[in-house]
Amino acid sequence: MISPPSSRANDGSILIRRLPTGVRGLDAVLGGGIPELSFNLVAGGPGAGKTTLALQIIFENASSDRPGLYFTVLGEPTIKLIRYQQQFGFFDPERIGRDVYLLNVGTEAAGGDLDVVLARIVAEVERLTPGIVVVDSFGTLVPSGPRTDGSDAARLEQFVQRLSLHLTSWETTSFLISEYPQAEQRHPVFTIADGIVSLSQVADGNSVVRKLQVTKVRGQAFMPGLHTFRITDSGLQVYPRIPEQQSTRRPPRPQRLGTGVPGMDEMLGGGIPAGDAVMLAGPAGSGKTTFATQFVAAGNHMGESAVIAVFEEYPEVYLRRARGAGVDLEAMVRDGKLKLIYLRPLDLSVDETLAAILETVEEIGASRVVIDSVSGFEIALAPAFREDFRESFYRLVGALTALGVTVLMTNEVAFAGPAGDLSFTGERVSFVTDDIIIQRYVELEGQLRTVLAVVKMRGSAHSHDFREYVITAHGMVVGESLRAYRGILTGFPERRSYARRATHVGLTPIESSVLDALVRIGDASAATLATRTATSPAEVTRALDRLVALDYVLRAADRDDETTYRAIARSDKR
Amino acid sequence: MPSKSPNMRKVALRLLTRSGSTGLGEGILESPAEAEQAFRLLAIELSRWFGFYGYHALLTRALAEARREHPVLATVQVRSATEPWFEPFPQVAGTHRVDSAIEGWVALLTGLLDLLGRVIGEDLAVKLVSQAMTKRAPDDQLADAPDAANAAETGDTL
Repeated sequence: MISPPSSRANDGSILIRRLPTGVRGLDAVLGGGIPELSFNLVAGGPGAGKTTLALQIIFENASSDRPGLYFTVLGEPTIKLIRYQQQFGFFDPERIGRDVYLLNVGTEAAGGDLDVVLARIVAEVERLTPGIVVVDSFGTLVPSGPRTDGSDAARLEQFVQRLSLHLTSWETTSFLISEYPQAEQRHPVFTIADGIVSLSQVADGNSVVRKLQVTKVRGQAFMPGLHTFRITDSGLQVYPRIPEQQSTRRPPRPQRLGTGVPGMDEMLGGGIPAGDAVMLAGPAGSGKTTFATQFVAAGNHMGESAVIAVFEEYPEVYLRRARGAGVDLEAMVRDGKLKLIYLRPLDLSVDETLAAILETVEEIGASRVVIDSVSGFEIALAPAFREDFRESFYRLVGALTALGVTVLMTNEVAFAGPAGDLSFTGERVSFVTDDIIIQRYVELEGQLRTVLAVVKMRGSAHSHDFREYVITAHGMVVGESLRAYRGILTGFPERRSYARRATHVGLTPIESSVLDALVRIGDASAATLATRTATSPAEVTRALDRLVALDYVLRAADRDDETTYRAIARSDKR
Repeated sequence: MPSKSPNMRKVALRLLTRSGSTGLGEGILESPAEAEQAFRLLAIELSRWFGFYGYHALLTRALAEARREHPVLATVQVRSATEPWFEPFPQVAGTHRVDSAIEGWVALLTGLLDLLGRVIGEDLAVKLVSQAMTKRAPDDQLADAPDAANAAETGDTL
């Protein structure tokens, strides 16, 4: 006995149940699933994934009471279908012959009499009382190409109409597989269908992009447009296009997140506002990844979880490099507080990337996300997606920050332009960010040094100084302001004239810098001075030795096995 | 030639000696007509899955392999691609010839199971063949299969 599939809504109208497809992301695109008892077309060229999609839907909905029937006509032989579809995770051989039947009507179709084909299908439907039926493919029922004439089309249309009536009468949800591409969907059969799903794959450069489009679902609002999908070992997985702007953006928490980089939070007015999207832009080797790992570790110290999306190197290499910079990300991974998502293939879509990140964020309850790097991400995308990278990136960042997650994105830039050229990417994606930090190399006192500055913080006061920073064995450390210099953006800063006059006579710039720091902060160790002056410990030690010898500085005390120094107040030394 | 699986032989033997569910009665192997009808039922059921042409392709390959070791099968003929069941089996007489015929039918079914197993997996092959051979064919199906009933009743002789 077939149970009534639909009930009535409060207003007396039929309440149509929606069947899950079993395809991740597809139910959302369809507006909730497949309307029960609907008659649908799945269209697409060879290799588009039509068969896999239909079987996935069958396995999701079939039961021993209401099995799923898959009829093959003259296309792929059933025996091959069973052989190859077994490779997918959804295909459970145990259910074959119980919940799922793959039946062949090739012999009937070979005779060319569509009535015979229909009779066989109807006989099987009556015999097995399925809940779901697929006919693959109806296009092979009549000759194709030059031999096709109007009568063939009419016969086919009549066949489909009668089939539709029979299947609906037997209360089945049904699918016809069609090879007709999107452009040829003017065929009358398409008007009979209650729903149309089109699949396509396009070779683009060296990559293949698969897209799915729902062009019709009677009675429910579906998600328009092209959606990327991928065929994995588990079957199809659809990545719905991200809504362009989340209307329910979570209000940012009234807190600042520590970056974990000594001196940086001070520049950021107390840290990064929670829920912001931060861009860290700098040239290769300037310490962007080091900054990012410290940002993640700082969150971990506060009990927060994090996700890092890596595009340019393998996770194990990334973890090893972080350890080299003094950050033990591996321990965080072991504790389940950090997940690395490795996204390197060259045919990614933005939506696929976002789906992977969002899923992981939800899985571990992450509050910090690092995208390392935007430039690597862009390269990982299929060429087709690079064309609208700016818009896609906007959607990605919008979706992440809407969750209240704080996003740190690194981006490699060259700063090769003239002074003041602050375009951070070729695509100029900085407009999507709340905060921007830039790093760059400068030639300072005959050395290649690194400086950074906070360019922008939306709605928040921040430092406008360029400050030098160094990468130590314990990570990045931000040093003193470079207010004494001008022309930093050119890469060749010059000490301002008043600054030159302030230099201590007979001392090197480093010695002067160390002495100035000692005057400002009082007693300090060589390590502290190295941090505050953004100078290597060895150079500071040498400078201190000379300052002691010249009576600018004295060794104040040994504290915790560490020597501290104190400046001697001798203005006549200037 | 791919080696035969001992498990498949056991399955084939079990399927050809089982009783009751098809109404074919005990001692199927002792009656060529019943053996022929068992294969006919198998043909009808598996052709639903693989199509007549698909099943015919499997059966003829399995028959060709089995004939090499069992000459008694030389006289067995598949009717046609769209009727992939056997012409009536010859009636055999004498203990030795009956044993040879039994061995031939078992080898044929074993070969079919082996072949199908290599394509779709052993478990699924055993499942589909078992389901087919233990299913009572609907009357209309047997009626649609020409000569099925007659062959079972008369047991044609050489």
